[in-house]
Order: sequence, then C-alpha cells, then structure tokens
Amino acid sequence: MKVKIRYCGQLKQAAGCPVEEVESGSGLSAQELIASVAASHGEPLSGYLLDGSGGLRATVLAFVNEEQVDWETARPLSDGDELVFMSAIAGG
Amino acid sequence: MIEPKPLTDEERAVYEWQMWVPEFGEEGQEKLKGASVLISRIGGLGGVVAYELAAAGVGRLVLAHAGDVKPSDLNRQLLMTHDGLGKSRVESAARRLRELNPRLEVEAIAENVTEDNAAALVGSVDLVVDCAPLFEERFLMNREAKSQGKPLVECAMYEMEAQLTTFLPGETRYLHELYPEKPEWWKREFPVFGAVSGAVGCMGAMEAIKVISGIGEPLTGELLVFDLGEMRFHKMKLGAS
Repeated sequence: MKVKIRYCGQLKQAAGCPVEEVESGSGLSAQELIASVAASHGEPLSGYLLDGSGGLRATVLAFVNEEQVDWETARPLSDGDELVFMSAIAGG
Repeated sequence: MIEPKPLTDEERAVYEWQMWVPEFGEEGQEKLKGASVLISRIGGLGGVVAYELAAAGVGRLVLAHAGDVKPSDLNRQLLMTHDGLGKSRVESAARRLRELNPRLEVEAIAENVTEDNAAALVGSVDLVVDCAPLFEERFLMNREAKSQGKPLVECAMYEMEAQLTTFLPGETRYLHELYPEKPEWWKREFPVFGAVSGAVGCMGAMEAIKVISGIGEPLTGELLVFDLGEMRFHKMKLGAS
C-alpha cells in the first residue's frame, strides 16, 4: 500500500521535503510507519519525531486523514491514507 | 459572563455593516462593547488581532508586550511605525488603536507574560488571544486561562504556515495539554511574512468575536492549519484526551 506523508513547520526542513510517498506492506499501523520513517530518515528527523523511548515526541502531533493519532492506540493504515506531522509553532 | 453594554447612536452608525450580519445584530455588538480581551504579544500576530478587535468595537483591550520598536518589527507588526523606532511597542500600539477607535479602552502593559503577572492579566479579561513568540509565555497563559475558566484563542505561524484553534473551558484541552512540552528547537526569531501573520491574526480576531458574541462555530476540537505557499487549508480533528 502507498501512504502519503506531509511534514509541516520545522519538520519540513528536518525531513528535507514537504511531502513524500512511502510504500509498505499492508496491515501496518500509523505508529509502526512513524517508527519506520524515523529510522529510514535518521537524524535530524528521527530526533524531531521520536523521544528517547521511541514514542512520539510531546512537541509533535500526527494525523491520519485529518484525525489526530492517539499514540497509545494502534491506528491501522490503508492504501491512499495521508499521514501529517505537525510541530508546535508560536507567534511573534 | 460578559455584561452587554448599550450602544450610542454614534456606535450604531460605526458598526452598522457588521450588525447586518445575521444572528449578530445590535445584541452581538453590545456583547463586544461589554467584553475585555488580553492580547499577548502585539507583534505580527497580536497587532492585527488588536486592530481588528478595536475596529469591531470590543470595549476593552489589555495589551502585554515589553520592549521598544526595532527595524526588524516593521515587516509585520502593523501597529508599529517608522517614527516609533526606539519607542515603546505597547505605547505605539495603543496610540494607533485609539486613532482607529477613540471609544476603545486600552490598557498598555509594557511587560511580557511571566509567572508574576500571568494570573492577574488573565484574571482581568473575559477572553485571551495568545500571540506570544515563546512557549513559556504560551503555557503560562493557557494554564491560567484553563484554571480561571477563560476561553483562549491560540494563533501561531512559521514561514508561510499558520495554525489556529480555540480552547474553551470544560470543552477542550488547552495548549499545554495538546503539546505537554515546549519544542527545544523553537527560537524566538524565525522566518515569516507579515501577510502570513496578518492572515492568521484576522482569523484569530474572528474567533474572539464569535466566542464573545455567540455566533458561528468556533474552532473547538479542531486545528486549522494552512500553508499560504500552496494555499492549502486543512481542519485537523484533535483527539479528546
């Protein structure tokens, strides 16, 4: 299956692109894909996305098809889903 | 609870066009006149929020922002002017707002939000609009707004992107619950166009007007995210817990 990944805010620079499409086996959860994306990109993106224990950082929100992913509940993915990563930003 | 204030004939003339908006009318205008709003800070985002709320007839604005006007403010901080360089930001802002609306009550606080003043600042108003550049200030305002039962409009921007949502007591989570930690990588100075801060500032002002007057549907439980580089707009549904 193919999943589109979109990076917002400072994550765009960390990923080196605003959007990418990844192909994976069926049955993958959003949490597993996020871990896989972090591993394949390496630093700096992995450090932005994941904390020391491999969980989603408290400064990042993840959404699948515009609904926030609850890290504690496996979110199954389907072909054509869009995963969005958003980092906290402020004002000025 | 906002106590509506009756309008004068002059105010009816000034606000005639927005009182034509269905469901708003004179009753909505009286609520705006009776309302008070804290805006921190009043730079690229907050300045535009303040200008729109002053134009719309909100009765009292509390502006919190330390420091003097610098050249690098002038690409986006629309309440600041070239002749105000080196002078107090809040005083420049208050002067511009009074020129627009001499009926407006403006309280200009030449301080940023801190542990020492957050409770009193939030406690002095009906609604907060968070436009601060530092997460320490944002978390302080959000914690106080939640504990004091005050609505808070959260505006943010970066490069050509912006985020907007509205927190309501008893209904939504607040910023410190959505993002429990401040991002280590965030810096007070960052790339942005004034047109981006202005766009999200106008939208933040409209959220405040909706919450105060009770019209429309505020962005509660949803995060509006937009990228003006691609003119892409999304409403993201936030989790409940």
